[in-house]
Amino acid sequence: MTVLVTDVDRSSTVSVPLSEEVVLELEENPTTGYRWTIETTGDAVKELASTYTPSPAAGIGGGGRRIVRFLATRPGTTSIRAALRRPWEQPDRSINQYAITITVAGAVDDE
Amino acid sequence: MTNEEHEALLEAVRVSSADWVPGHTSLTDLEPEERRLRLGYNPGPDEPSLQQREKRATARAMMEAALIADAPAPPVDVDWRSVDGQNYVTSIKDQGPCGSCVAFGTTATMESRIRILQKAPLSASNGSALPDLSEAHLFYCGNQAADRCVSGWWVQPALAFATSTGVVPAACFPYRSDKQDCILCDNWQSMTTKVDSWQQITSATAMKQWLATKGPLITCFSEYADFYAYTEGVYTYTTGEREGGHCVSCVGYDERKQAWLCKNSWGTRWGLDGFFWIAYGQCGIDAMMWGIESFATIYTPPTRRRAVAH
Repeated sequence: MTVLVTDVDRSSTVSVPLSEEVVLELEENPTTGYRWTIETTGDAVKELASTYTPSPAAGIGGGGRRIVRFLATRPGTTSIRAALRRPWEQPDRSINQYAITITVAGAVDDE
Repeated sequence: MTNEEHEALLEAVRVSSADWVPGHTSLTDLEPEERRLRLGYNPGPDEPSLQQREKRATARAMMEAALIADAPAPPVDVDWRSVDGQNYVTSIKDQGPCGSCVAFGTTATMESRIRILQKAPLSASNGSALPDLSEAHLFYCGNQAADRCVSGWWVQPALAFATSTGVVPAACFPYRSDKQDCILCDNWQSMTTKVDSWQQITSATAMKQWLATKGPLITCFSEYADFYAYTEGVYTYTTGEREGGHCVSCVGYDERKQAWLCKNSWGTRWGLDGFFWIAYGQCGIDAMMWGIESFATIYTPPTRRRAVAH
């Protein structure tokens, strides 16, 4: 099973079982130069891939969704922080921030 | 398609001197109804019919051919930031996180064309009389989409709005990138600059001739994930996903570089102080461009008279 987290889960803590996938979906419009940069603290989850999907109905300059996939690799906690900013500008000039905490439960079968 | 039909098609192509060779394909063996189902484009309610599109395309091709035939060969390079030492390109703007690039590419092109027609480069004595135009007016009043900053826009509706309603000076409706409502200053109707005629150009030679003689062009291209990292040189696609369409103003070209010079709307910290070079044919940059031929009205604010003491 995959656990989907989006903008409504901002600042929350989400518990996921070991070996499950966590998918973070956020609105993004890279044609403006702004994109989400992701940082993690802790080793309970590992980033697998980051992809961008334009909205099929978008016109010129239209946006879409950034989709970042993580795998719950070990019991513990990882903080995921995302900042929407232009990569060539200073990090403190981000225009939107997102944070979520992922708690990975231990595998009962290992006991 | 039967062998007889195939032979008839071969003969028709031969007689018309067309430069393509018909053959049996995965589609020719389908029943006619199945084949029709694979035809993709279906014009929307406000778009010209397929027949109208064909007529317009033919007329445009003839017009472009005439333009190319009548005009002298375009020069080796053009840069409207420096023509006889004069700059006709207004300052680099910043669209922020809103997908309003169509409005920025359109107003930038309008601003330069006005300055060229009025012989009013930025540094000339009459250069400061012409105001920059309001991207906010064009985008937030002209674009009827519910969530404009996310949905983007198209060049032709932007030009249609600039023709029918016109665009006010930036001071009448200053741009912000946080999804503004269409709220204009008092008496805005008396401050509009209206486009009279514009053209869509699809041949690179005609684009260069337009740039050499008339001014900048609006253009759009597919933006890939490596584009944001551009700092200098001539951009060519190297890696990354296609992230959407982006619209800018093309302000020149250089045959030695084999590239177009474009004005972006990501502020001056990006690229070459906000500008970039992109190689001919890259990312659809020269699939089509739009030029503004003339204006019905050009708004110039009244000159303030200095009070004279008696």
